[in-house]
Amino acid sequence: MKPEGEKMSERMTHDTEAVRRGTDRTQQVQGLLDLAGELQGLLLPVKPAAVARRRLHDELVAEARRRYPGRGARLFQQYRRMILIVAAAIGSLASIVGVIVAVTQRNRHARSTHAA
Amino acid sequence: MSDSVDERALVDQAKAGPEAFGLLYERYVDRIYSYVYYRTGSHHDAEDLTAQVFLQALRSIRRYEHRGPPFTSWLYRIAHNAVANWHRDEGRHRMVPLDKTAELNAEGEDSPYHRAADKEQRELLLAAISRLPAERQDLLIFKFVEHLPNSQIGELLGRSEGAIKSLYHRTLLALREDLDGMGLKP
Repeated sequence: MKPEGEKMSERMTHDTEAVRRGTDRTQQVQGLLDLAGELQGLLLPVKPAAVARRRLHDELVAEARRRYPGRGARLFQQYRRMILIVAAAIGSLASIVGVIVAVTQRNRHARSTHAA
Repeated sequence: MSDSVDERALVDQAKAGPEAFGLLYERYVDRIYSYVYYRTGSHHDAEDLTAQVFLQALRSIRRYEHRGPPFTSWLYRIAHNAVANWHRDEGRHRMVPLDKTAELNAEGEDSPYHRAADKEQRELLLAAISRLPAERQDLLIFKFVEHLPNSQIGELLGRSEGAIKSLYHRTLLALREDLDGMGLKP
């Protein structure tokens, strides 16, 4: 069994070590916070020169105009499916009307031939 | 919310109209330029690469679909690839980048002596940043220059939000160690 004085000495050593570790940790955290503060002050947003910015804008818009279809073509692409359906419907209707007209004409012709 | 709605509408318009693409450019050019500038270290290269990024965006915007992350994530990804190609193709990696930033940011100090000392310290810090792996440089730029939230940084770097916090801590430690090695104290 250790004497009381020795136990107290061990406890004090242990406590001192814990305090030292705590202090080291606090210093490390403070160091990182300081570093983050420096980075915040250093890494500021930068902007392109006004001339370069304007030039690139104009180049991009010109390139976009070359690439994008005109208004008519855009409308066609947008409503392409609907335009095709309507065109097909008109085509079908025209053929039906054509058949009806042809049959009517033939009947009328047959009647007039028969009467004569 | 309204920003994201505006952004969505603008992107949709930009898919069909050159003028809307011009507006999109005006809205995001500074952010992309900042990112590219801090990764290349020169205004000249930043201008070239920013132009490349927006030309690539123009070529691909019709294939872009809204899937949750902001439009800037898509642009940053194009910028990241452009910067990676730039480093790979040219074999360039500047150790002391950033032409004028140190001088610009040091303005307002007390005396020429302090300005010089401060400038030197800033240049050492910038050099230490440029020695970090690309992913850690991206993290610092996204966090301090672009002020992106950890969730978006995580989305950009393909990591979870928790992993980003941990990577940030490790990055600061590595930077501190590098600076201590050069005898630079905060």
